[in-house]
Amino acid sequence: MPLEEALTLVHDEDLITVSGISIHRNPMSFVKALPKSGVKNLSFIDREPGIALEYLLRENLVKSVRVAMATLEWFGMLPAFRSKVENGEVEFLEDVCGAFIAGIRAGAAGVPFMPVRGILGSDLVRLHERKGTWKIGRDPFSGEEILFVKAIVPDVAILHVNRADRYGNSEIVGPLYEDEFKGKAAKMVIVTTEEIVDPEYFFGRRPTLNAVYVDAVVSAPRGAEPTSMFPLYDADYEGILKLIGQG
Amino acid sequence: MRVDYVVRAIAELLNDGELVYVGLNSGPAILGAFMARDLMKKDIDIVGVAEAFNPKSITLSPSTGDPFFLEGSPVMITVDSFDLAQKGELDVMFLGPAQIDEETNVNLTAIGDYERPKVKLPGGAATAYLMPLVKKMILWNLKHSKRSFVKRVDFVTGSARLSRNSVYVVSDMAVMRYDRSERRWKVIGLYPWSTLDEVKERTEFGVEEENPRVISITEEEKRFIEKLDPYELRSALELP
Repeated sequence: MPLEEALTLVHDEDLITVSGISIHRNPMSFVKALPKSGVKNLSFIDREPGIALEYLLRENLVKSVRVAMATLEWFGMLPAFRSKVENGEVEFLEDVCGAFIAGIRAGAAGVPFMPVRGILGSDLVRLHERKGTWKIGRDPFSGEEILFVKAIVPDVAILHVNRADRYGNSEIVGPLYEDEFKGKAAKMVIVTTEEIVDPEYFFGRRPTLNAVYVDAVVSAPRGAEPTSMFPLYDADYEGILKLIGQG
Repeated sequence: MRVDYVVRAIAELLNDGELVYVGLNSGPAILGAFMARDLMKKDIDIVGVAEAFNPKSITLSPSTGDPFFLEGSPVMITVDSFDLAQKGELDVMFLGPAQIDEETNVNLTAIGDYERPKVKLPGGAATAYLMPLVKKMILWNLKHSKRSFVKRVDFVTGSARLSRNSVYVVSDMAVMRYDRSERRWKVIGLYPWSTLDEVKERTEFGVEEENPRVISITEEEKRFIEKLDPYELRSALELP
């Protein structure tokens, strides 16, 4: 599908999630094209995002953010994220990795919630209980107190992958993060791919994400730049500094 | 570099048989884990946010989630590592909180009010999840002062107070162990440049000594760290 057509699949007010973490395998070619589409007031959910979130915040496309951590590590905090949260310009809900994983797995499996261990004792619990995203409950079998995470069902997941066929069967090489679950949980899935392969490639092989979940396949060689794409290219550190206004 | 002593102190806290997870933005932790495994020859397995299972070796890059660690290892995804934590089979996690308090509460969320923070921090990531679940929690903080070692954190991102695990903190002034029976932090290590009195002066809560030894580092250990971090990225962690 041409990029322009795929861009129309993202709508105002949508809850979106993206592939990758930090400075690795973000779907940057698609994210960089989003401002042109005129879409606005997006909500953003992810575990440990970096460059893609920073870009969308800089372009003022995002009104609310729910993430467990937002860092560019050695390059410091995401500058727009930090200033927008400090100035109250975006709504922010801090998540927890284990809770995000539980929620996106519940979304992928089609169940309303998932229990998760740990987390009790954190001040984040009351914030999420107020939002209606978590609830302290009891294991119905043992009676033990445990946290329930409401299923996370993004409107759109944008995932950058190593290979996909024209039907949407997709393969990610190297780290997966939660991208398989994001693709299964989201209502709409846009795959951008380094390489389009013949459907035969997947014969007898399990795709990371099956075509049944995927709505659009967009060819995007070097589509993660300036973030890294294992094993094809490393992160472009100068490009990252430029994007965050320090280059 | 002083941070090399911190790396050495972290490495000493790891033991044979442990499965160790390294998260994002965790320079001292990743260097300490590899020193423990490859120089001190401790029988540990290293996993982490890079999703590499026991990488053959690493070169420190601006990201401790660098997927190129996979050039010498199979993939082990974080979802699987974190499932192990829920089963009680993840032994060690490292965190670098901005604030640590006398009850093992840590803050990686914000300084000041959550809604309108004075300083927004990167966020706790897996902190709340793993702090009570791992068997050994190793915290690091390279700015030991009354602003970081506080009586009560501004926000409890995570806590080990409801757990029975071991908790350590390695700072640029001391190594401390949380004593659960006395509910107090005990100083178990000092550096050639730090004294117990200075640690007490720079800590808002009361601490006690527990036969603190002086942490030293050999030339071989220094060379090992230099080999893993040839671009000296760790120097960014040093205090001015």
